[in-house]
Amino acid sequence: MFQLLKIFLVCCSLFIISGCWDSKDIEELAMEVGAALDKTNAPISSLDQGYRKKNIIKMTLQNISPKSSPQSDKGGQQQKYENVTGSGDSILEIFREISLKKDVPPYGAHLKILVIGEKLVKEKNLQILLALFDRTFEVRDSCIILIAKGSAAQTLKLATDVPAFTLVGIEKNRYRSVKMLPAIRLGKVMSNMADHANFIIQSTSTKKRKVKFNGGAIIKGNTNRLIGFLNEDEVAGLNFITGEIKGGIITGRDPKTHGLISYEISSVKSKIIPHLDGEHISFDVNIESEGRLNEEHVHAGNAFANKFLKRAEMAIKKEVEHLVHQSLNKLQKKYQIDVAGFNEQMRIQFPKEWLQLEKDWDKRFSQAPIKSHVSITIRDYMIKGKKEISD
Amino acid sequence: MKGSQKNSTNKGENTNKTEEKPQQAKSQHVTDDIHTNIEQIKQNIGHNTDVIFRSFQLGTTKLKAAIVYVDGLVDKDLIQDQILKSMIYDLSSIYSEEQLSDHDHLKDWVNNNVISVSDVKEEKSFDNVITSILTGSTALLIDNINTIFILGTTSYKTRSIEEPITESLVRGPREGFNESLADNRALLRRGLPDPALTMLEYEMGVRSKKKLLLVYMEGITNPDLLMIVKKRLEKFDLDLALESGYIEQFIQDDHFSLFPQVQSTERPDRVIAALTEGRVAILLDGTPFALIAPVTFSMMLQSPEDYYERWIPGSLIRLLRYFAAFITVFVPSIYVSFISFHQGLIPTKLAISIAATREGVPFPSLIEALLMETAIEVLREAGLRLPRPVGQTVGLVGGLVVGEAAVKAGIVSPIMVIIVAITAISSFAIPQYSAGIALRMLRFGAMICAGIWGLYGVILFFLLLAIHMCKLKSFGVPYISPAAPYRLRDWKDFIFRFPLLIMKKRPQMMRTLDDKRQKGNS
Repeated sequence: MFQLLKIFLVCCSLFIISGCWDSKDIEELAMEVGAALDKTNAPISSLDQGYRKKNIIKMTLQNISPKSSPQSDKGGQQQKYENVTGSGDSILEIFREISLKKDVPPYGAHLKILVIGEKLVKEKNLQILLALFDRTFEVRDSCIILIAKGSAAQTLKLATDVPAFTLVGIEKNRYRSVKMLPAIRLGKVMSNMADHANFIIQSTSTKKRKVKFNGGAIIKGNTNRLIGFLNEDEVAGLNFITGEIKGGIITGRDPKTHGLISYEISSVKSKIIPHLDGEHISFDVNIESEGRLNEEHVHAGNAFANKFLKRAEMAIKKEVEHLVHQSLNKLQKKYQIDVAGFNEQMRIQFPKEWLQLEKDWDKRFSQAPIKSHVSITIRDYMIKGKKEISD
Repeated sequence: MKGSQKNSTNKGENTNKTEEKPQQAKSQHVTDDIHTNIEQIKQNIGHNTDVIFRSFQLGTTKLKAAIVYVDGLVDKDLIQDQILKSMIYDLSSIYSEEQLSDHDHLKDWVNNNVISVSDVKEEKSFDNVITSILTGSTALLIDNINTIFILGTTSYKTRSIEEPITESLVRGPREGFNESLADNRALLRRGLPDPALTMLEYEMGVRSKKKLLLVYMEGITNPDLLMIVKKRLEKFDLDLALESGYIEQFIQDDHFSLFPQVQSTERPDRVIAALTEGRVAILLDGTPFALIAPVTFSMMLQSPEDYYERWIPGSLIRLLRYFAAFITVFVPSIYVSFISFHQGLIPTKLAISIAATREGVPFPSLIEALLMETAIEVLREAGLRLPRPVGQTVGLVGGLVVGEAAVKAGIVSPIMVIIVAITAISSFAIPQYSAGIALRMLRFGAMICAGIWGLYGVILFFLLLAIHMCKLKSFGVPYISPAAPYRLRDWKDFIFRFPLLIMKKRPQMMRTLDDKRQKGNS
């Protein structure tokens, strides 16, 4: 009997002492969907008296709180989100400070996007900046990282329903543009940095509450700091080298009539072939692409004519070669950094030699001659034109 | 049970042979004197106005005779035409004095030549006589004969054979059991006119004296199983057996388990199918519900229709029922744990809309869920007990009006109403009513675990449930077989129902004597 009572008491204590403390109903959480980190020199506000801090980082959290939910019946243009700003010296400090200002705790599991201001990444080590997001179990590794030219906070103030979702949505449009880099997520960023690898992050610009994904931000390994940007065309060229293209168009000019030719990419395959001749490094980049002829301002009459197609292919090929050359030029000459994966191919093909090459790879890369071989095939001309019986 | 196992009516014979052992030492025996006998009966049941005593003289002789019966339980036409008439009129034309003087001869002669009733027994013990009279037989007493003839004249109003209400099918026989054991027995015989079909008769209830049939297939059913069932049937002493539920509760394995360990059914086809699988059935007089034992959990989610439909739709619908069972037990608890512990597991946009709908709800999600689930159980119970037209109104008012009003008033969130509705509907998709109740009760346990420990608690609850079900046995057959213990052969008829063509053998778990279901080339 006494035994039974003991078991009963233990069971009762389970009810009282365990579990429930984690319980927090969903409406009592402020769901973060986006966050922006910026460098700031904001003066200590009057609210923060008696608080020793320098205010290096400003964080903006985009919260969807039920209080500003779409369900409310008030009508009109009510904001669905709420941006909360805090500044301080460390990220966790800012988070905790926000708790002094807001009634519901922020909840990070739904954090979709993290935008970091250009100035901050130039100054601070990205690995340190992101440490908190990486360490906490709340934030998912799938959170997308963007670098904002100018102010990151502005990116979360777009004139859309929920700016964070807009950014995620734009990221999904990669199948429609060659000028967008593959999304790089928190987990990938952290592993790259642990690898001391160079990498490139999609960058955005915001003007008058409108955003554009334009170019890429190059992060140098080891230091984990931003060293510069590639513009949109250079990003396209880089994408051709890496083969990371799902779709999009390339516009070229017909050499004969100088009319515009739009080529819609269906597929791109690329292969980087490294050559090592003693100390001398060189590369061949083979790019094969297939696609459709969607729009042309040439008025060739018959789009099925092989002669015209050959011309069109040549024009596109020239354009791609130009893009590739341009971006290689920027990477090799200006930044002297390899973000296109040449190092990886070298390591795979010449594993023994790589051990020596690895040390000052970026320098060696910047001096290596790179030849690109582009082949374009137009598979489909849509429904315009008629079948040519003889050439 | 003061049970006396009587005969086994196989080989298609209708008349009962008595192999009666004298049971009650106290009971008095029938004497030669008819007056004493009548007095004896009168003393026992004579004060009841429905007991009719009718004295007459055999033909034109001075020999006294009497019949005793209970009004309303007997077929009066039969008594008048076949008993009274032949005893009073027909006897006189053919009797001879000397035959009447020889008592033994008279007894045989009456039995063989006079009474034209098929069911005749000779009885010497008054207790048995009285029991027989009270169950609708007519007692025939003749002077100078020291036995009483018990004539089977039982005839009372029974319900006709109707479609079973609790287990209706789209496709399948529309016959269901009714309250008459004779009808039910006939239904089984008609469905399975096989000499192996064996029915053992028991008497249930010291006072209610209900007939109970233990039905099995000789040569298929495992004798060990039969022994277990017989032992359990003989073990308990019951005053009253109103419904087969009484029997079920005495013979089940685990009295504390929520799961039914005996299947009750109104469908003869279901019983016949179970019999041919090597199970036993128990039929009780006065109830349309037959019991089938042993059962497994998978049987609770099966419908005879699975077999009547072609195998692909049959299998998919069965799979659907497994989902429904899962939803019934776990969906509210999973919802509660998602809402209050693991908000990160909900897709972002859904999380936002749930948060929006829960805005202003004053209760934590666990309380909200318990409130609504209890409400719907109350509604279900209320709708069940009321007359049908009113019952439907209750369902409508409860489900729609109260639900919507509760949402409008901000007491519960609309998503919770959806969850509750889904679980309620899912629970009705379970073909066995008693299994449905079990799962509905478990739902509350799961919800409380979810409210305390979140998803971890739900998993703990699931483990507990799994442990209990693994431990549970129904008449020696593991409850969740063929999953555990694993028997691949029986998986043909488990979650999926494979084509009948390849189900050539009876279930392995039943350890039948005759394995083959189809005399094929296998």
